[in-house]
Amino acid sequence: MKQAIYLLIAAMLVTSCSKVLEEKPQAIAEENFYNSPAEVQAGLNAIYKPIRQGGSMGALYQCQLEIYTEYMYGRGSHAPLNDYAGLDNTNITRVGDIWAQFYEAIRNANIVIKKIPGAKALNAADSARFMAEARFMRGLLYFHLVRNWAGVPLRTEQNMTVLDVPRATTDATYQFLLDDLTYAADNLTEQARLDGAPTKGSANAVLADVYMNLHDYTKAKDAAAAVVNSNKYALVQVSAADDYDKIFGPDVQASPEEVFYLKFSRTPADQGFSYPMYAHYPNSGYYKPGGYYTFYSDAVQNKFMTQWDKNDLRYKYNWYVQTFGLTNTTILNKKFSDKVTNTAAGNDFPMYRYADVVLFYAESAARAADAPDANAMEMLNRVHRRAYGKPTATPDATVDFKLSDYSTLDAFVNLVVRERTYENCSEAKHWFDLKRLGTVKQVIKDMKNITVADKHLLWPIPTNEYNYNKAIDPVKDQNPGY
Amino acid sequence: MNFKAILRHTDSQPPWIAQTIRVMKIAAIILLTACLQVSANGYSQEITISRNNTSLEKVCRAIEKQSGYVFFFDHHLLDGAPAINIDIKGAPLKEAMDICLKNLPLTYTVVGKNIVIMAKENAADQPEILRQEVSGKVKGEDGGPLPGATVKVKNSTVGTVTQADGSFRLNAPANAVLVISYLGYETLEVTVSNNTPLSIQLKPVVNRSSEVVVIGYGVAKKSDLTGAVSQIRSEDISVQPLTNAMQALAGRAPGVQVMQNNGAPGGKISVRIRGVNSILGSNEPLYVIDGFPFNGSPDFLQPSDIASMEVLKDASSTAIYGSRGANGIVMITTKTGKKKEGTTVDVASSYSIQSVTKKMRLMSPLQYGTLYNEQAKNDNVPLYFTQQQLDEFAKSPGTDWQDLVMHNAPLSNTGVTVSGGGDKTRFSVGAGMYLQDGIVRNSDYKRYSLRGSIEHEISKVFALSYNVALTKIDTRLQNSQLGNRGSDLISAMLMAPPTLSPYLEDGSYRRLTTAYPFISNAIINPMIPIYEVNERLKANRVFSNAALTIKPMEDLSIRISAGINNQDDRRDIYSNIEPSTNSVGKADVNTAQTQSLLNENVINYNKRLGIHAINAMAGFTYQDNVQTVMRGSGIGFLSDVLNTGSLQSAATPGIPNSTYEKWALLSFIGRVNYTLLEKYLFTVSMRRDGSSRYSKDNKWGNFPSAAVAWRMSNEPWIKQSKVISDLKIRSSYGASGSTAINPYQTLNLLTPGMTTFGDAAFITYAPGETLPNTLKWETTYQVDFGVDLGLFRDRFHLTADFYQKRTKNLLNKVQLPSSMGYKNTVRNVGEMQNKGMEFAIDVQAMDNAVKWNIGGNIAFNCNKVLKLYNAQDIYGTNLYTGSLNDYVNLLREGQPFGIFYGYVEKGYSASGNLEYEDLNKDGKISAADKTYIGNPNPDFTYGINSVTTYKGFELTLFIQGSQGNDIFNLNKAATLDLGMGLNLPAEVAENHWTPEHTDAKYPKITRNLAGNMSTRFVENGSYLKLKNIQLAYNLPVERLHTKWFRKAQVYISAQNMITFTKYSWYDPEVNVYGSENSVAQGIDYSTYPVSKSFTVGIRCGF
Repeated sequence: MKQAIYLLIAAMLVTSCSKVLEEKPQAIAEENFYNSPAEVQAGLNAIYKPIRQGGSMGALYQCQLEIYTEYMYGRGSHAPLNDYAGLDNTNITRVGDIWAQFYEAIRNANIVIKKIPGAKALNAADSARFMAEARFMRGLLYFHLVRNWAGVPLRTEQNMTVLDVPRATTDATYQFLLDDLTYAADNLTEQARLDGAPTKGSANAVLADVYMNLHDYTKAKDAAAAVVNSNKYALVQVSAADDYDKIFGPDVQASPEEVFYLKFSRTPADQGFSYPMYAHYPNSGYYKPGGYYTFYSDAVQNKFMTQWDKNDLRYKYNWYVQTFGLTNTTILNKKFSDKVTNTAAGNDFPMYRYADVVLFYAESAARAADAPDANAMEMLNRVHRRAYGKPTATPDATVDFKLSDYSTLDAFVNLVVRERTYENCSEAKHWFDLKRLGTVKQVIKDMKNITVADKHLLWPIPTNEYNYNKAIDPVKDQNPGY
Repeated sequence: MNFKAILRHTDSQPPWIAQTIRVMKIAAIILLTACLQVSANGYSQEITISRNNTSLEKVCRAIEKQSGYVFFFDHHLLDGAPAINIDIKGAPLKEAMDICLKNLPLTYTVVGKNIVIMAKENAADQPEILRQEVSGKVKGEDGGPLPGATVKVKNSTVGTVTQADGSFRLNAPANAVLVISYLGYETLEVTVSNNTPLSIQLKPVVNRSSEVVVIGYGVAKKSDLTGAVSQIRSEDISVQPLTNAMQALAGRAPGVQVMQNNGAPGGKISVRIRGVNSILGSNEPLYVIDGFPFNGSPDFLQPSDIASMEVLKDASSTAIYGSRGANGIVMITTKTGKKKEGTTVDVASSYSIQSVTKKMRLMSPLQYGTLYNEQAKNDNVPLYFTQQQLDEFAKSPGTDWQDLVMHNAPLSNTGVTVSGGGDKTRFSVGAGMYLQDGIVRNSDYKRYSLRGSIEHEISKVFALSYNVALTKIDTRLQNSQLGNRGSDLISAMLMAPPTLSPYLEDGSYRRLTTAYPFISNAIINPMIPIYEVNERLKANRVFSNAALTIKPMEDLSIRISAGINNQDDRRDIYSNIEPSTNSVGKADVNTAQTQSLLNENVINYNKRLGIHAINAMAGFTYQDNVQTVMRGSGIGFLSDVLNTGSLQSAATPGIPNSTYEKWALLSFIGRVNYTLLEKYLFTVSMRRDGSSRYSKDNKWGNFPSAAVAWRMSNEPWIKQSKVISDLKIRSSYGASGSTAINPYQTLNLLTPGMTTFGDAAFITYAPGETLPNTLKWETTYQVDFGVDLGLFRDRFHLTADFYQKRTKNLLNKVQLPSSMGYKNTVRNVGEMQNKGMEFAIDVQAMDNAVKWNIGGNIAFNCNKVLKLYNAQDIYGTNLYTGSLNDYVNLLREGQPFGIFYGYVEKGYSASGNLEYEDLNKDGKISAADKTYIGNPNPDFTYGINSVTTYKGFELTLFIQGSQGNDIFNLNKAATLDLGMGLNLPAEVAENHWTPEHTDAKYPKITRNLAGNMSTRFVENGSYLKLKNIQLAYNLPVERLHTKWFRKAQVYISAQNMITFTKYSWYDPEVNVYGSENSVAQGIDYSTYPVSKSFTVGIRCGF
């Protein structure tokens, strides 16, 4: 009898065991997600997360690019960056992490691009603008990749789980990202999905930048003009150096100058901008949580700094003297400061500002016409006037450049580039200018008296890419010098 | 002539040894069998014999043939007797013997089936007045009475049996020797001295083959084992103070490697049984506590509560645990009460002082200043220190950061066990308190435990048992976070400049990162984590188990049990408001609650039919485990008083975070043991496991095993041997598994996250870093061949085992190209093999006034990775020191697990820089020049245990060692990381490259060294350690003649006092990246140092 009861219990357990062994996680499975607008947007938001980390556009990406410039120096493990002899192991790992984080964001974009067509509760308008945002981000990230590594493996929604994808050529990479960005410019709306998500203007600004890198200045001018003519943006007026805080300060919510920013916030925790941590000296007063003073310059020893007009409000806004044992004229950059925070900085990373677009326009219009015109010069002067506290839209003979002084294309382009160097100081943009213009070696030799090795111009394909992606040969397909 | 006369006789006459042995032989027979019978009365065997002028011996042999009784006598006695004439018909044995010995000075006694002939005592010589009444009490090992024990006056037929309370009473001559014997106990002789009652305590016989060992879902006699099982008894577990009882496995059981990851109190240890089987899954054995398969390391058990630990190693022993058996099983049995035992109380208490095993010799202030000036000079930068500063450095001893961080720390350990029982109920209650301060200041580990066990026979059919253990662990951690360039406590302790004081003149902490312009921007003031950061881990453990045993009929029992294991952990971390670190107060609270439920239903059938014996077991079990985690944090507090008590008052509250995870395992088990003729043993077992973790069609796995053994010593041709007392050969084969994957790993789950738009937070959902895949069970097949050999009545005992394990369907994290966005995926591809042999020897070397037991064991294991996904190497953790950044350990087909892989240093360049072998001859040093530079796996590990007793003294030595393993001493990376202002070993200052001294240990002092993970860091990690030495004295409490005081022992001991090793850093017992599945084995880097200790203690029984 007893055995019979046991057999019965056993039989019951066997029949119910399939249920017992079924997994019911308190989590969301991919199969049932990406249907409603809220779900797709959660997927879109995930594109931004990887690149906001300190290891990439949260700090180290900017450090890497800024130290390369003629006006900046790196300290500690970042010191080899301004030896211009290529990357050492530590920095090879750093750029490898940047690569991985960019591609993680690309994967997140690809998932949304793949899932949107099958989303059950999405209307056509939302489908188009969400798709456009995902493709904008994918195109933008490939633009960053191609400028640092040249041609890269093109990961799309089609080949997400394919292991071996070869490096595309630089041209093919540009073509791919142009498709994405053009689609984005056509389908994004003027109104951002959220404060900091891309708009049509964002896509056009990036397109202008891309075309300038491709030396297609007519298209660059047109794209920049589209942004300018949209009348959605304006330069923020400045009358004293500290007024630049209205553009870069940690408390700025939304400024008319914002075309596309990566947004950061002091709260909640872990959502802040880490870059100021690397910029400042502990107890300097510009960033309370501390500081690594990873990059610095020298007001006297650096030639570019000595040439910078001290009446330019941007000089005063950008630099403070901080000695830490090197010289008495060591200066640190304070463009990104948050004097109040106890956790992380509230500043945003201004990837594309209206001032950038204005200067894009000035350069590409002049190049498209093979000579500067009054309009191009006026665009340049608007940014320049502001740096002296003058109203941007009002010509001012005391500070304005005169077209007659810079009538050749070369002279004008050099003037624009120099203006952009001042304007974009510490914004991780100038190195790309030098590379685009082909002036890296000359400028670094002039300003720092260092010969730049060829291998310094591109970053190496990371080890854990070619180790596991058999379509990339570690020797043949590696960037020169690595 | 009596026995004493013989002794006197032999004393004066060589060759006395042979005679002594003869006497001993007779005595032993008497003693061994005396318990059976003390008189020949009642024997009615009829004897018919007729002989004339025949020697007594021949007559005896004739009687022997007829009666079946065996004679024992001293040949001297019988040889001296005259020839006799005898003629009897059908007389009883007693009568026959009386006739035989009539008129001879001989008498006899019948003991069981033996007849012992002895010299007759001359009763007339013994004055009656000297006979007296002797009384006393016979007790067992634990002080409980032994009823039915035999007490006999030596050399006489006078004897009695003890009463239920163990007492006896008899008449004996003065100075008589009483022989006390009891089945299963060693026979004892006691001289009657005066009128006081005797208190006699018997020791149980150590008889190997009758010892019982715990196996999966049952117990077995050692003699019936067909598998490879090692046993560690409670006295070995409690011989030294241990944080974690698992440390007692080190060196005690062959094939069990115990690695202390670091020296932190309560720090993790890794246990490997017969090598490493899994890459992804845990390699820790499964711990089964009183039948409950326990998830994790049983650090909550008070070592003194453990009665025994059995290590199941071969497949026939482990396969019954199926999918969790591949790494071996450690069966832990806690103490229970004994039947019919008086209540006993055992108290043990000890106090230790711990100190670091050694101090590192670092640079003096002058060496520091001079070295960095040399670096500045070599690197063409202005000198850092002026001559005046150097002169000041020369006068100062500098700051000894090691002394500031470490100190001598106390440890106290107290345990009380009360146990007892009656006919139907047994109980045991234990309480323990283990209080340890760490050698690093402000670190400690406190454990308080209460345990109870009760067993009750409700009726002949039903019996109930209940076990519960409550433990509270409270520990303050000083973490070695394996940072770089002094960014964590231990590396800062070693790297902080000796020229700097920890405090500024105003009493505030010195900020080391800005102390010198050239110094590391990562280095912290070591005083900060010690005094300004408080990390506490509080853990409550409730472990309870109840079982109902039903015996509906003889031979059949059904056991229904249920168990709950509940673990509540709470970790609080608070960093004080501290200007020098820009801390504004930071609080973190993590709580984890884990609950595991177990139900087991097992039927056991035991039957002996003539020459057949069968034992069959079958059952089904269910176990699940739910873990919920909740975390909260906040930054920015108004006062340190708030600590972690008010997260809501943080200026910046952190995002709360919670997780949920559950797994379930449903299993059917069965095992049959069959024994033929008590010689041939067969075992077959099977477990079928269903796991929730695997994909839908792969949930179920079968784990069968079979074993055979031959007890050769039960064969007649060995049974007669005087040399071999025990001999068994055995062999087994079977499969066991590993639940290598986490719950939900086969599901495409999305990971939530957060990002901001504007200044508002928004939720993100994206896949994690692992691309999901369908997965199968990982299975380990093991063949084992073993021999158990006992010689000279088990005074010498050897166990040898030879095994080969092969793990198939090895689950593997496969790296993906980073452009995929996923970091890795998990696949079922790979194979690994472990081959090895183990020997354990026990010798009772001396057994006189001085008793000496020595045991040793040695284990050889050879691991080889057979197959990996696409032959793709698996790299260990990337190790980052600030200057070096690379992996060191590697898994590669054809190589042992976790081999060191790096560059071969070949010397210095003409300018004193490091140079490496260009192995692929391509003219440059690249990753292609890496090769195997070391092996963290030992050739063999061993342990030696010696116990010597003389009178009340007992000397215990325990030696443990490892041979042939390498350590990658990454601490030395700092010696190549010059220009960061780090303090370094003094030998860097004393022995580095200069143009005049090119044959130096360290290269040129420059920050431009081409450092790599190289042979430079590989050191011989072999060691021999005197783990424990103890001198104990057993106080002669029996002289107190108090009923309540059973035993008392005082002892002094020392742990880790002597280490023989060539290893240069703190201690060769280190494995900083050790974890249950870490590939990065054998690395030493910036970790909490191991301590040595000196202990005094007392153990009492009442």
